[in-house]
Amino acid sequence: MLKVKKIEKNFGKKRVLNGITFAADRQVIGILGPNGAGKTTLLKIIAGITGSSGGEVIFEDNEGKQIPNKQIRIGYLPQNFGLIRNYTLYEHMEYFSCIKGVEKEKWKNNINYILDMVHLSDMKDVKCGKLSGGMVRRAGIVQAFLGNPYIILLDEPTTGLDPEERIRFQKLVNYFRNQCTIIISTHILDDAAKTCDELLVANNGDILYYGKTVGLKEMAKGRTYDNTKADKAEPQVEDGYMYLLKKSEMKNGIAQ
Amino acid sequence: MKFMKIKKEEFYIKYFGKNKIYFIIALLQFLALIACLSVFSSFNFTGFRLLYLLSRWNFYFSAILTIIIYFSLGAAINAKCAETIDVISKNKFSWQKGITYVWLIVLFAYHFVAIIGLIYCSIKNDGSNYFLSYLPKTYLINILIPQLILIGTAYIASCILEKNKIYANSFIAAILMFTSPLFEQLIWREKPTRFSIDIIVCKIRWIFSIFYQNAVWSPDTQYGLQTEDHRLYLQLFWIIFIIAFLLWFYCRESILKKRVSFICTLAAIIMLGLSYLPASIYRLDESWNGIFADLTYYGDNKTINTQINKINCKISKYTMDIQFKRNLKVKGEFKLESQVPNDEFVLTLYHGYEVKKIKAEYTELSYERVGDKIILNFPQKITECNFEIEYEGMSGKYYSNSQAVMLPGFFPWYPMPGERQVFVDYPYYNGGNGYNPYNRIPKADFTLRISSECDFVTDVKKKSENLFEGKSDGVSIVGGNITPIDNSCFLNYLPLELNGIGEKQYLEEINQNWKQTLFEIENVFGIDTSELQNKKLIMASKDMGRNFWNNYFAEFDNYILFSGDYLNSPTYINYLLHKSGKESKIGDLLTAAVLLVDTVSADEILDVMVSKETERQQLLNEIGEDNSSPNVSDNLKDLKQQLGAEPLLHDIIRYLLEPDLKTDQDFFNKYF
Repeated sequence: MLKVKKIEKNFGKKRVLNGITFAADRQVIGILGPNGAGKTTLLKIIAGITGSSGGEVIFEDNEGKQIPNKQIRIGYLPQNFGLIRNYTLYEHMEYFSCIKGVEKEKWKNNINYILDMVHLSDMKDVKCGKLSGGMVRRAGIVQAFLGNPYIILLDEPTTGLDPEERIRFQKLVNYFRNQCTIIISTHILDDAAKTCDELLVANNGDILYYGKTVGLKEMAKGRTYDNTKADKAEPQVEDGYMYLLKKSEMKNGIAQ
Repeated sequence: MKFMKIKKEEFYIKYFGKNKIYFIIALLQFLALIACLSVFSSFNFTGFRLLYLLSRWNFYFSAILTIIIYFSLGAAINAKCAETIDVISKNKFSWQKGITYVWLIVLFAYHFVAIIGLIYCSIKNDGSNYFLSYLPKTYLINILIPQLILIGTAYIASCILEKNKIYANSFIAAILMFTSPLFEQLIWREKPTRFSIDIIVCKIRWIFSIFYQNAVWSPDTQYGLQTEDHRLYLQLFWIIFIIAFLLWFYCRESILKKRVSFICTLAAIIMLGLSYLPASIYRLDESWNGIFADLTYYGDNKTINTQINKINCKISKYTMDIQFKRNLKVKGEFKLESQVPNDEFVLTLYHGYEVKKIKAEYTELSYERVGDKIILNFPQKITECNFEIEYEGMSGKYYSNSQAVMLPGFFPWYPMPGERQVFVDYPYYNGGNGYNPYNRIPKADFTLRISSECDFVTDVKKKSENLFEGKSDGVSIVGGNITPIDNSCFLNYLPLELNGIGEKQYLEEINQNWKQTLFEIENVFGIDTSELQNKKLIMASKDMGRNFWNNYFAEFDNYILFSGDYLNSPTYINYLLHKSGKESKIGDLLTAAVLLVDTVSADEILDVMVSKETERQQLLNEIGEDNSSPNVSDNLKDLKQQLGAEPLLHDIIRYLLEPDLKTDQDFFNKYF
């Protein structure tokens, strides 16, 4: 289980995270929020790249015993991700598996399987320098899922992916859903809606909402609506999201 | 886990192999190194000469290595996967640490080959084992450490790369530029008149002087290859600074390591400060304030005559504690005597030595330092006085530090009684200028306690480990890469000069050479050598006289100081003739001819003199110049026929060295 307790982060005088608290155990958590909300910072704190100004991140085993961070296998995909051009895709995945501490005998099956899930098997012997941007992004997703990590942190994973690839991504997440904790930071509300068990909406370092995805939809019910939508009666995740951010200046809508 | 560790390194090796350009460059460097070692070894280069070449080219090897290491360190950052690698490996800067492993292998192999090559070359071509003990420190300071420092800056640049690519690239470019031989060329040949910009540039350049400097000049075997203490301090500054920076950058989360980083920074600053303290260093370049400083200093004040001496006292006893560390440091007691009572006495001490204190026994004493002079003033007239003096300093030409010592007895590195001319400009015998090789003091008792880290010899007899006592008319200390000898008229030799022959054979050859020289002086030039034969010989390197005139040889009462290849009769004759200082066309021709002949024989010397003068007269006739001086070439031809070559040459030498005949006309009038 991942426990995030009252995480605070200041950059100079600016408070970026203000007492963020949540927990997750083999779930998919989506983190939503506008630019500058602190989503990437939160992911980096959980990943251990950045230290926090307060609070703590705890990993626990099934018996509730704390596991040292060093023993946690993490999958991580940052917003800006690339590959070292001279390796082939397969070699690069082998490298990632190796530094993750995955046993060598498991590399081949694991890499091939996940490459296949994102439709990159044909490119495994191609040098990374020759891959397109979308392929690199998908490769990034692959390396994050390698080795059955305890926790997977994905920052804007589907940026630059076409709809078909996004669907593959959603399938991949669903496949690993109950095997590990996955935290996805995204702007694409559709992805969040379709993959996440719980959503955390943040803005200016504060949590505006944390709970089930369906709960966010319910929040918007009867409060705001967009009359361009076909089904005005059924609010969607984006409605709840927009309501929370108070950007719901709609024609004939009611702003709360 | 160990198995895992090994596997991870395979990927870094694979990365290196897959980057053709890195692989090719590293391979070319290896091949160039092997080619250099093989070719120059086959050309019979000594180990020292080969090491000098590697030191000279070290910057280029190191710069190329640094650039490719920098790019390889930044590969993950540039590829934007460094963060991912760090997170999933749970190891910050994981890529940099991993790729270092590969480069350590490359560097180890490179230096292993270089060292083996140098040892092989030395065993094959050197005449002694001296180089093998000389190699470790010199290799460290001139090859390995500078290379590691430059590579360390690549690590710093890769840290900056994370934040800003432009700054990182600029940083590494600046470091390469400032440490390059190009930056060394920024010297002033003449002293700037308005603002000492050259001093400021020198101070800045010093921080980047991590590589062997002034490599276009051939090295001095006695001095060696720039392993002075303060160069080591400078290199320590860089090493500690790089460690401090990397500790701070790589271990920002650890307060303990931050504290260590802070302490390292302080230590680095101390090292830098120590390296900037004034020190005697020997650097060959054309800057006005280096080895040529005295050309500027004495400038128009160079007198044209070596005979000017104002001596109103003598120092009969010198008791000196001499230390060679950063520079020369002397604490001495001297006994001053004067036949005529006086309240003012003048001593000569080279202006580069700063007088810290002068104190007289039993009487008041004040002093004034004016250029090379120390003017002692007493409240009453005295004929005798014991006084103490402390002084410290250096000369750009005659070095004195922990690495090597070149202090000839004619150079006022110790107080000489009277006002002496230190630097001379010869108006005759083909001109030239140099340090006055004829400065001698009235023979005095010397007691010297010498503290030095290098081997050295002096003309004064050794009583115990550091104590030397004896009489001298000009005490010399020669130290550095020398080997003292017992049971020979030679007190030492320069082991790094032995090329292709062993020590025993070399000593036989120089002894034979000396005997031949004495023979020529006696028989060809007609000079009595009975005193010369009994003198001890101290060998200094060619740098004793390098770039100056008439400084390769000096004769003292008990010994001769000479530079390696200059123990020969032509050098001796030139030395004597310059001392006599007679303005003479015959003298001009003779001093030139002795240097041009293949064999030292009266016949050949006279023939060259005649032909040179004939050519000169023809040239004068062609350009219509006045040629009314005595027809020297015809007269010499006639006299040679008349007297014979050797008797004529003997007569010429007598004329030039003795004062009774004043001019060439007077000489010829004797016969015609």
